[in-house]
Amino acid sequence: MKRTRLFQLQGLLSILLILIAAAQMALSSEGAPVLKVAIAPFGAVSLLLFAFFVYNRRVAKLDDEEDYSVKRILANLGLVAVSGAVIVGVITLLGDLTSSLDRIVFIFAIITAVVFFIYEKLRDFKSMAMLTGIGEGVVILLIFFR
Amino acid sequence: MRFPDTKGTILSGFALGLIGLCFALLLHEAVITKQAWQVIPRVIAGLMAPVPLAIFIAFLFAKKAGTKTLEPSPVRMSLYLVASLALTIAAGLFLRDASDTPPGTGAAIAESSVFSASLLNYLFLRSPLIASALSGISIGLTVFLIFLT
Repeated sequence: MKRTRLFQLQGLLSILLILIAAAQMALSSEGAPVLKVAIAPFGAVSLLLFAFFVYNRRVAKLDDEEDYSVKRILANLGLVAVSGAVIVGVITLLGDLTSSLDRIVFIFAIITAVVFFIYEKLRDFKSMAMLTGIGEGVVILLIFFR
Repeated sequence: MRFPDTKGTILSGFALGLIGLCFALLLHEAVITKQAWQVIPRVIAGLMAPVPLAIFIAFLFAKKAGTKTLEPSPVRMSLYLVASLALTIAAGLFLRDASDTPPGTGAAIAESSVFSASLLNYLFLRSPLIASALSGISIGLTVFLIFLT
């Protein structure tokens, strides 16, 4: 298996998991005015355009022949745990703010935009760890914290 | 419309997917809360209002696609973003205190026109400062409408 292919698969899977979590939280939420729900995702898309302007180049450091050292693997496992904890913690701490539909759409659109930016521009060992952490964090949030 | 590269195509596809998801959630939400069905065509019309103008401008500039590229400087762009975001939120708070009417379809028209101007800038003009200012206006408008009204 090529590492670039695995990275692409992980990115698409993370986006799919985030959309599933967003749908689950949206189905069990209060209603909101139609106008606010319609406007909510636009901020994330503007943020994504801005990020694409600032980071013009693509970072691709994925070599199939390279063996990673034990220290680096442990550090990136720690990064997986940290990014998953950040996702779970942020969405749990927001709490009352995520009760209505427009706020859920806003927050999950921003998370999707961040994941899509990583998937498109930063193809790295670190960003692979971040993608894994975000996907796992969303699954843990769905299973244990809702 | 001619896209300069695959990046623009992917970006437009992502934007279209987000807009489709938002319309699906909107329909579901209107079914749940039993709001008046007359609201939905008005909001969709408000969101679609600047699109024909944007396509016409793209038709005008199609020859110059991707000719201009400037070197972006992240610090200056972030400064423009934060300044325009703060100005937009301040203007929104001032307008909210001045008049008690809730935001109507005009908010959708403003948001959609800012977004299509930003997309046109990304595809054809490629000016970093215009991009950061428009992004700041859009994010500020969204945050103000969702969290502060």
